[in-house]
Amino acid sequence: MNLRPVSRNVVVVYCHPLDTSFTSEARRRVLSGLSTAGRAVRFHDLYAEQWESGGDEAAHAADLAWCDTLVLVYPTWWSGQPGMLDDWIVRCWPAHAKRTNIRRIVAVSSHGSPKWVNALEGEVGKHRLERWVRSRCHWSTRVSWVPFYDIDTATDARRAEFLTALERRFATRY
Amino acid sequence: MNVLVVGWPDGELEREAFDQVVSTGRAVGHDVVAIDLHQLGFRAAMPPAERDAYHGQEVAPTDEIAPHVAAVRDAEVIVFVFPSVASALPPPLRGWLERVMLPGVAFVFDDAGRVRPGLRKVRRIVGVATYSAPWWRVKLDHDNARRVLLRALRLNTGLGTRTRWVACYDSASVDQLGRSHFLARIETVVAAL
Repeated sequence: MNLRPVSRNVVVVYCHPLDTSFTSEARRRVLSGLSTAGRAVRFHDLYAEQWESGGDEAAHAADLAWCDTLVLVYPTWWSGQPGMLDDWIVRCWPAHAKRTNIRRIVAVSSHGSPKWVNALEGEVGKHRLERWVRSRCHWSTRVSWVPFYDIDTATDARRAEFLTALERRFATRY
Repeated sequence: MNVLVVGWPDGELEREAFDQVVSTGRAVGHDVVAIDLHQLGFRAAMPPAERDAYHGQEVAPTDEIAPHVAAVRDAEVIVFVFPSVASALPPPLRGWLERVMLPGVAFVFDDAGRVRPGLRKVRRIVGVATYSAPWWRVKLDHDNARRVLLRALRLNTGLGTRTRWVACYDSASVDQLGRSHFLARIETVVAAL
């Protein structure tokens, strides 16, 4: 028996300043995977929307109230979410706000260093989603962590392998 | 010593803490440079042009960032003063880390492309934080602000760098006694640098 609702409504929030980046390509794969799966998707590019200076908070709040799955695609900088995404989290989850319609959070993030360095640093971005953000969603919300570690020394083959697996993952799992 | 105080004091208590750090630092004879990101209106988001220039061993900072980089290069002690927001650093302070702690400043790449420490001059990292949540809730949430500064940033300083953390929990309901206790601890820590 599956008590969890089948995911249908997905909000994808993407945060990277450059269109030529690995994270940007990851975003394209996520979106194409979700469209293969036939999900209803609402997409936000924080840099294109100039979120920090003039983001439409009401539109984001409406989309967050509509979705059951939240996908975040961002680079990990200084062990956590970039300042722009940080700002988005702070403004979309004001004090004591709960978004109980969200049942799953998926984070796709690149890391400059290998896994062990990030572990030493405390994996701040991961724990923040798994604890603070999760505690402000439904009690049964699951957090899926989809990291790409050690991008500083990654070969093209490893990158391509990750991106292919990423698209397949979003086409079949969420 | 050269003390760099970086803060995002947006509330009354944080403002008092920031002023306490600066005045105590000057009183005991340190060379204090104070950066108030709240007053500067510092933007959290890294602009595309800055990210585009990020690659390579040495990055030329923009005019806005250059004075911050100069202050970091001189610093032997860095003190951060801020309220923890949504279980993390406030966005402008995190943006400051991303935009100022550049390759060639905070870290360098070795021949294999791995990151090596660049802040070898820094001997102390001090965090002065206020939390709206009580102590147990902060620990449950993994105390992310503390980990970014005392671990992630600490990995980019020398081996001998020591860290201190002065926190005021449950800051919204703290009374006058708790407030003066907090400020007194800041004074003790800064005087002992």
